Amino acid sequence: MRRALSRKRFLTILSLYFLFLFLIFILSPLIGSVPISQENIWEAVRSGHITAENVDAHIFFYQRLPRIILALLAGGTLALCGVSFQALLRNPLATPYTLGIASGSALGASIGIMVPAFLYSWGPFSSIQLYALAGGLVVVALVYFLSKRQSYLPLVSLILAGVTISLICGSMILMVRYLASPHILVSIDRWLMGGLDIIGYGDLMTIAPFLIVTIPLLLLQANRFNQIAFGEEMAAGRGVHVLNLQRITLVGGAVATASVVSLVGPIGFIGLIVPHAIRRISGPDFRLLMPCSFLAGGAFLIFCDTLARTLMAPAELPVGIITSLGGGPFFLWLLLFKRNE
Amino acid sequence: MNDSLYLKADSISFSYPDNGFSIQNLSLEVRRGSVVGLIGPNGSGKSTFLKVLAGLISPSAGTVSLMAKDLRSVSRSEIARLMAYLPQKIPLSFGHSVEEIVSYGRFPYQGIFGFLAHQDNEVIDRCLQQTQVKQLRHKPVHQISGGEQQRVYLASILAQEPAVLLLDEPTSGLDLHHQTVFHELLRSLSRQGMAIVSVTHELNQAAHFCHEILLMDGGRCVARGRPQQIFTREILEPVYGERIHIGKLPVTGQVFILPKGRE
Repeated sequence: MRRALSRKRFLTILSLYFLFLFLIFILSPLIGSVPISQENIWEAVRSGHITAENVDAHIFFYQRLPRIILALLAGGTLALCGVSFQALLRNPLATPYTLGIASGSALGASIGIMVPAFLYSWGPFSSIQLYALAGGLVVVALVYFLSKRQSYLPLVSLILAGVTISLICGSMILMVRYLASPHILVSIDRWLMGGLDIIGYGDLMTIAPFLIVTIPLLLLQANRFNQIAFGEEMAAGRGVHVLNLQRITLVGGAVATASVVSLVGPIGFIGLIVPHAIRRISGPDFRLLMPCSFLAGGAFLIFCDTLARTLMAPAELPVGIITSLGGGPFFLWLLLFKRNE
Repeated sequence: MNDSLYLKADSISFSYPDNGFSIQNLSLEVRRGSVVGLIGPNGSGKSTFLKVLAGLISPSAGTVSLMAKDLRSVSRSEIARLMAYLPQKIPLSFGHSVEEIVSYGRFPYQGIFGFLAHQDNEVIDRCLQQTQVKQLRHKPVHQISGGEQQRVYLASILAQEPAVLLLDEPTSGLDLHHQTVFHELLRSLSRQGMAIVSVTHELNQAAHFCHEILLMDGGRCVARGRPQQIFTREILEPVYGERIHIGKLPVTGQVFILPKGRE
């Protein structure tokens, strides 16, 4: 029982997702290893500044809030890129990492961490983040040029090239790890597990410019994605410039994914399970699926990060472990029991 | 008279860069209300020619004109409003419902978000009705039969409100009953004025439903004419080999083609 998407249904469903995200967004920063009083936070909001004694407000505004905004942006972006790559590759099992972006970023970061001579900072960027960003983008460019034919982009070549380059990057990471000294090994491992532990808003600024451009760019392709869901030829017959759409998706998705991964590490499974869940709840129409996946992906990562901060408090679990531990079994369940639906 | 010439291909040639397969010097005129069948053995270039007609690949020589305008001078979305193309294979990946699929046919008329206006809904209803799939409108498309799916896809390209339909083996994989239902549907669309080009392997259906046949072999046009002119031993045997039998029904005069058994 599913009707064609009307403006009314679109707005209703989208508002529900907004509401859901909003609730998680305001509840989550109040929870943490240190209990904070809401009064002190209101006090800071009312007076417009945070006094030195108001420790609660410091924790709220400089530790938890930026972290939650990052979780929202990172989770939302990964889920949105997941949907976009699923549309591009016409494969519901595609993730933002299918084309090797995360592996490229991980290799870049590992090299950046291992070679001390490479360490520097450039504005708010750390060198590790820049190497991760560059690694991800180089891999996507490689995948694109390896699979591109004269006037079209064969999807199977794209996936095969992505998977192969991922594997090569994986081996190179092993090589870097083998050569690295133990304390550097710990840093590399910690980066690979993914985490949202930022303080203040400077780090957010390093991904904001990329996301401000790429997220709307991807969202605007939704109606065209509905067309290529029925094949490139069908879409072309309807007036879609298929190669352009593929390029936009590849570049937009790659830049968005690589910028997020460069800051938070390769957090897994969000890009796969969130779109699956939303497709089940709200249907496969990309005009609804894309914005809802963004909102739900953000909410999901905020939730996982809250668990990461509190489960073993005062110690913190890497959030990548939580998303994968929750996501892995969910995915297996989809694969094994829901294959006929 | 020329007003009724909807689609015209003039000396079209094209070759694939990858494998060197080519079609050469193909011409075709499709008028209002006519059904043209493209027939020929596998690999004779029928689908390639259809893609050139649809504007999906541009010919290396020759021109295609749609409503007397060179296809190259018409924007993609304007082409899609005048001419609809149904590919041979349509992937099923994401579990859309019948109504959603038909609604996507309105794409060439939509803005960036593509919400449906009242008029769009009327067109969708009409197309669902025309193709007799209205009762299935809320079902996921992978839960209906192959014959129904094919009619749903036809409905979805009819929602483009085209004047010309290009169909690539629309009845392959359908049983005899559904083939006939589908072809009768095409016949009634053509009576309403639509011009239709259909690639097909169903020679008997083509003999019955097409006004004109273009027989292809090895990327070239072997013969062009009315079905009675084309379905003769002299013309078909060199293309399909000697093991076919061509006959005529005694009362209606309808042509039929059968495989010849070993003697």
